[in-house]
Amino acid sequence: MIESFVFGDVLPTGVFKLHSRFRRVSNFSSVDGDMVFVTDDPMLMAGQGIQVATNILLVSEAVSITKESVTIGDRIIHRKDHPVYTSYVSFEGLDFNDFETRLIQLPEDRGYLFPDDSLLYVLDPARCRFVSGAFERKLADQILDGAEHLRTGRMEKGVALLSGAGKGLTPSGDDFLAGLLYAMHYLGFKNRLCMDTQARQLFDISKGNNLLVNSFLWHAMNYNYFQTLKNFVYSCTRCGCGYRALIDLLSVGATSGADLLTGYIFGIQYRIGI
Amino acid sequence: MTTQGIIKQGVYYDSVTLMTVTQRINALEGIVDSSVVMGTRENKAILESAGLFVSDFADASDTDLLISVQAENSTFAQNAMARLEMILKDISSSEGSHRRDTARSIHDAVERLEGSNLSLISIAGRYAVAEVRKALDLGLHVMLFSDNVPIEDEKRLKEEARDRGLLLMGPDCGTAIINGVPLAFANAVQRGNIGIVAASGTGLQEVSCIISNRGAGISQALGTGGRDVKKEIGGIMFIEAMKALFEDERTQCIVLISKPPDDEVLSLIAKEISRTDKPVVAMFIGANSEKVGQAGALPAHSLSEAALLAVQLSLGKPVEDVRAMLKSIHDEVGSLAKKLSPGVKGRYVRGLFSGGTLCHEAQLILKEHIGHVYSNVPLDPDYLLSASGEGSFHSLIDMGDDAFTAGRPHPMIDFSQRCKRIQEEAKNPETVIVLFDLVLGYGAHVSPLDEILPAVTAARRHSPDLLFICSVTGTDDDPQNRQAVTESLRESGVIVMMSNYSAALLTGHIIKNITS
Repeated sequence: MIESFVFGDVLPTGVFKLHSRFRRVSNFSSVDGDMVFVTDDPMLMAGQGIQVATNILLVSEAVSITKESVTIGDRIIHRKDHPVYTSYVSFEGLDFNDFETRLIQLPEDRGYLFPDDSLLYVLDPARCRFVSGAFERKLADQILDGAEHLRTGRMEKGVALLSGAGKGLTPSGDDFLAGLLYAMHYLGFKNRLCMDTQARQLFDISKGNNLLVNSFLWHAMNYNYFQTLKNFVYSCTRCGCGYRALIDLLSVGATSGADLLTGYIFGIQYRIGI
Repeated sequence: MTTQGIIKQGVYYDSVTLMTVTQRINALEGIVDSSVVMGTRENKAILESAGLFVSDFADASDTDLLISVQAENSTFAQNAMARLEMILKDISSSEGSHRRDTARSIHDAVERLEGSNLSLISIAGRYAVAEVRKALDLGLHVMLFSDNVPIEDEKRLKEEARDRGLLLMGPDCGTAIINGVPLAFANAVQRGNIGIVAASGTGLQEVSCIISNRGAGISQALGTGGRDVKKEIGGIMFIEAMKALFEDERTQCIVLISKPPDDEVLSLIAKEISRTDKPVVAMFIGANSEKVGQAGALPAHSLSEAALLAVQLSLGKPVEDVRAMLKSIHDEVGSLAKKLSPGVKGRYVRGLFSGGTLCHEAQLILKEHIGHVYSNVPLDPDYLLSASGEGSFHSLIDMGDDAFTAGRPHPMIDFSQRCKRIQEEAKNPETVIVLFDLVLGYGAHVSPLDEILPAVTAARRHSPDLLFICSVTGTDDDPQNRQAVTESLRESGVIVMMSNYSAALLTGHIIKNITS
C-alpha cells in the first residue's frame, strides 16, 4: 500500500471535487474556487499539491483537507506524519548583479533549448522566424505589442493584451504573466519594496473563469514557487543557471515553462512594476 | 477556402496533447491552417484577425476549447473535423482503458497473473525501495528500472534478494532478455546459447545485437545496474546472475560486460569464473584483464571482440580466428579513413551518444589513437567537460547522463537534444566529425530517422564537408529494422559502421591522419 506522501505548504482546507485529470496529475476544486492537485510526479510538486507514491490515488473523485489530515478517496492520511513541500524562495544573501546577468544572458546562451513556438521572441526578436500559422503570427503581434506596453510602463494595457492570449491549457500569455509576478517577488526583495499592490493589480486584470489559470496566477501572485521553478531559481542563485534545472523548467507543458521563464527574465530585465 | 470550427465544453487536455492534436490536424490533406486554443476573449479576437474564427465561437467561455480548421474546401474541412473527433476519442479512451486495466498494486498484479515470477518496477526512485521489498516478499525476481535509489538501500535489498534466491536487476537496469522476452530497452535478437551478465545496458545491447547479426543467439541477458560492481555493493547481483547462468541449461557460454569493477569485486568475479566449466568471455571496459584471464576467462578489449569471441564459442569455431577478424576490421577501417581524410575541414571530433557504455568504449578507442578526449563522463577527471557539456577540443558526450535526461525522456526516445546539438556543432568551424550512435530496439524511438535525418541534412547544408559517422546498435528484426535504417542513413551521406568499435576506430584514424 502507499507509504509516502508529501503535502504542499499552502494547501487550502475544505472539500474538493475532481475538476480535471491528466496522466500524472488530478486537479480538484472547491465551491469557493480553491484548487489543489494530486500527483505522482515529484517534479510537478507545488504549494497546493499532494504528492503520492503511485498513480493509484489519482483516480479519486474527491479530496478533503483539514489542518490535521487529508482524505483522498477513502484513504485518510495524517499530515504530521509526512514531509511538507516548501514553496517559498529566499533571495537572502544573493549577489543581485550576478543573478541578473546570468538570467539576462540566458536567451543568448541557451535559447536553442527553448521550444520553437515559445514566447522567447519577446526577448530575442530573431526568433520570430520560428512563428508560422495565421493564429501564431497574430498572437506574436499581440504579445510583442503587450510586452512593449509593459516595457514602457503601461502595465494595465500590456497585461490586458497578454492575458488569456495563446495556446495551451494555461494560455501562453498567462504563463508569461505568471513569470512577471515571480519577477516582482525578486524585484521587491532586491529593492526593499512591497510589490503586493502591483502584483494584485496584475492578477485582477488577468483572472477569468478558468479555475486552473486563476489558481496558477494566484499562487504566482503570492510567490508560491512550484518545484521546477524553485529549483531553477536556486540553481541561478548558487552556481550559474543550472543546465538540468533549466531543462526541467522548459519541460513543463508544451511551452508553459519556457513562457513563464521568458516573463520572469523580461520582468527582471525591464524592472516591471517598479 | 473554408473555415470550420467546433467548441469542446467541459473537457481539459494538457498542453502537450493540444499541441499534438494541432500537429495531426495540420498534417491532414487539404488543411491550410488550424488552431486549438482555450476560448478566452483574447484568443477569440486573435482567431478573428487570423481568419480562423467561426460564428459559433462568439459565446464560448475561457474554459471551452476552440478548434478551428481552415481548409482548401469544405470536404477537406469536414474530413478534418471527423478525424479530430477520432483523435480526441482516442485520447479519452486510452486514458480510460489505462485506468481500468492497470493493476493497483503488486499484490493485485500477481493475483491477476497466476504463476508470475518477475516484476518490472519503474517508479520514482524514492518510492522504489518499498515496492521492491513487496515484490521480494511475494517471491518475485525484480527488474528495477528506477534510478536514484540510495546505495545503502540497494545493498540491503540485494542482500535480501540473494538470501531468498531471487535476482534483483537494478536499480537503473534498463535492459534484460529473459527466456527470449526483451524487457525495457532490448533488441529482437535470435535465441541461442549465449548468456550475458551486464552492469551496462547499452553494452548488453551492443553485444547481443552483434551476436545475433553474426548468426548466434542469446539464452538469457541479465542486467544488474551499473553500481552493482562498485565496492559499496560488492557485485552481489553480478555474481548471483553468473551463478544463474551457470545453472541455466540453455546457456552454453557466458559473456560478462561492465565498466571497470572495483578491484575486490573483480577478484570475486574471477573466483566465480574459476568455478564453472562453461567458457566465459569477460569485457570489463578499460580494466586490467589479467585477473579474469588467470581465472580462465577469455578477456576482450572491446564490445565487438567480446561478441565475436562468444559467437565463435557458441558455434564451436576456434576463438583464435577472432584475431584475424579484428585485423580485417582494422584494415578496412584504415583504408576507409585514408579515403575520407583528404578534403575534410576542421580539427575536432564531437561525439553525441545515447549509450553511456558506448561513449566510454569510444573514449578508450580514441585514447589509443589521439589521446584523451573531453567528456561529461571522462576516463580521467582532468578531462571533464563543463557542466553544460559544451564541446571543447575533442569531446564525447553521454547524452543519457542525468544532466541531459532530467525531466525528459532518454535520448534513445527523445532526439531533440541531440538534434539541436548537431546543429550547434555543425556551426563550429573546428568540428570535423560528428560521431553518434543510434540504438534501436524495443523502447527506443520507433522512427529515429524522422528525427535524425532532418538534423543531419540541415547541418550538412551549413557545413557540407562535415563527416557524420554513426554506429547502429540493432537487428533487422527490431521494430525499426536495422537494415532499412542503415540504408537510409547512408543515402543521406552518413557513414554507418557495423559497431561502435568500428565507428570510433574510423574516427580515430581520420583524426590521426589529419593531425599527421
